Amino acid sequence: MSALAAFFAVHGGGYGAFIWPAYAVSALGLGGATAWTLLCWRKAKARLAALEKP
Amino acid sequence: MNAFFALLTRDVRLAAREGGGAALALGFFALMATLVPLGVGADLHLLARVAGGILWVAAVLAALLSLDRLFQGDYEDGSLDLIALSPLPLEASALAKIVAHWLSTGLPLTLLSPLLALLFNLPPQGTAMLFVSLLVGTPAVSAVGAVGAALTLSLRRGGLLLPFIILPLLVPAVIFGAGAVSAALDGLAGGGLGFLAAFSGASLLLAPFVAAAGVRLNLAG
Amino acid sequence: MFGYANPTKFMALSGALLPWCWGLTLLCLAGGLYLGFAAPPDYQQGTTVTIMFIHVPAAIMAELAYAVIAVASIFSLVQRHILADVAARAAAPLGALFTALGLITGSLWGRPTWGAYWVWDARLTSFLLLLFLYLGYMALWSAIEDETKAARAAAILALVGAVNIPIIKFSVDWWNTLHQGESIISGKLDPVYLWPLLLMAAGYGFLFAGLMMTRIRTAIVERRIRSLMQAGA
Repeated sequence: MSALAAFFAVHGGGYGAFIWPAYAVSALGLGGATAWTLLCWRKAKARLAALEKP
Repeated sequence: MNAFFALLTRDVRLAAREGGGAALALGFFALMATLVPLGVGADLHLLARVAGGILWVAAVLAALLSLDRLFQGDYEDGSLDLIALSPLPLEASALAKIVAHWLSTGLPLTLLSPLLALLFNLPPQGTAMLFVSLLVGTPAVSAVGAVGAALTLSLRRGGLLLPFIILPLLVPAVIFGAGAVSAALDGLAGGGLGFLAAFSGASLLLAPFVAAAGVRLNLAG
Repeated sequence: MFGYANPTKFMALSGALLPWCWGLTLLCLAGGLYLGFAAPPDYQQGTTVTIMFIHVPAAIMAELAYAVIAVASIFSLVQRHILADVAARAAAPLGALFTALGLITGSLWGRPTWGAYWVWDARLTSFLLLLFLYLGYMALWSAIEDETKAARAAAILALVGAVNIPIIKFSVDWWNTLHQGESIISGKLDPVYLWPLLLMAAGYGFLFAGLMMTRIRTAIVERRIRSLMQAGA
C-alpha cells in the first residue's frame, strides 16, 4: 500500500467529509485573499510606473 | 441647566409633532407582536416561553426606527451647528437628545408592553419583569443608538446601516433583558436585571461623550 | 517607532521585510500541515482533530486583527495619522475573512464532534457577533464619502466595538449558563497536537502580516497615484 493510500486510510472515511471541505474552504479563502492582495498591488505599481514615466 | 431642559422639551415636542416618534414606534412594536405568533403558531405555552425574547427584540427594533433622525434633522437645517456652538456643552446636548428620544420611544414602548404581553399569554410575574426590564434597558437603546446616529449623521440614505452597526452592540441588553424575563418565569432571581441596569448606566454615562465626538467630526468638514 | 510611520520609511521597511514574511509563512504552514496530518487521531475526536489546526489559528487571527484595528484607531484619533487609518482599513476585510473561516471550520468541526453544525455556546456566538462588527465597520467606511471623516467615524466605531466585545462575551456566557449550553471540549493539549497548532498559528500570523503590509503599501501607492493625477489635472 503506497504512502498516499495509507494516508487516506487514516484521514479519509466518515470524518473526511468534514475535514477536507474545512481545509478546502480555508485554502480557497486565504489563497484567494493572497492572490487578490498581490494582484491589487501589482496593478497599483503598474499605474504608478506609467504615471511617473513621461 | 435651563438650556438642557429647553433642548430636551424641544426635542420631545418635535418628536410628538412629527408624529413619527412615539406613534410609529408603538405601531411597529404592536405589529411585530402580532406577526410573530402568526409566524410561529398559536401554541400558548410556546408563546409564553418566547415572549420575553420576542418582545425585547421587537422593542429594540421599534426604538431604532426613529434613531437616524436624532441628529440629522438638526444637521440639515443648521440647528446642529447652533447647538454645538451654544454655551451648553455638546455632551450635555447629546444627553438631552438621548433622554428626549427615550421619552418619545423607549418609555411609550415600555408602557405598551403589558398589553402586548397579553397576546403572548405571559403570566403576571413575566409581564412585571418585562415591564421593569424594558424600563431599565430601553435607555441603553437610546444611548447606544445615539452613538450610531452621530457617526452616520452625514449620510443621506443611512437606511439600514445604523441598525446594522448598533444591533451587535445592543446584544448585551437583549440578552440580559430577555434573560431576566425568563428567570422570572422560572421563579429564579437571576442577575439579568442587575447587569442590565449596569449596562444602561454605563451607556448613559459614556454615550454622550462618544456621540458628541461623532457630531464634532461630522460638523468639522 | 513612529519614524516608520512615515510612508516613505514604511515602504522601505516593509519592502525589506516582506520576502522574509512570505518565506516564514510558507515554512510555518508547511511544517504545521505536515505535523498536523502526521499526528495520530485523538481518542475522543478521531481525525477531526486536524480541523483544529485551521480553526484555532483562524479564530486567533480574527481577534488579533480586531486588536490591530482598535490600536490603529486610537492612533488615528489621537495622532490623526494617515497610516493608522490605512492600517485599520486594511485589516478589516482580513479580519472578517478569518472570522468567516473560523465560523465555517468550527461548524465543520462541531458536526462530527458534538453532533451539531451550530451550538449557541458563548464562544461561537461571540464569534458570530464579531463578524457582524467587522461587516458594520467596513460598511461605515464605504458609506462615508469624505475619507478623513470616514476614517475618524470608523475609528470611533471600532473603539466602541472593542469596549463592547468583553461585555458581549460576558453576556453570552451568562446567558449560556442560564440555559446550560454545551461546552467545548477543553483541557490540556498533547504536545503532538500543540506543535502543529503553534506552527499553523504562526503561519497564519505571518500571512496576516504579509497581507497587511502589502495592502498598506498598495494604499500608499494609490494615494501617490491620486495626488499625481490631481497635480497633472
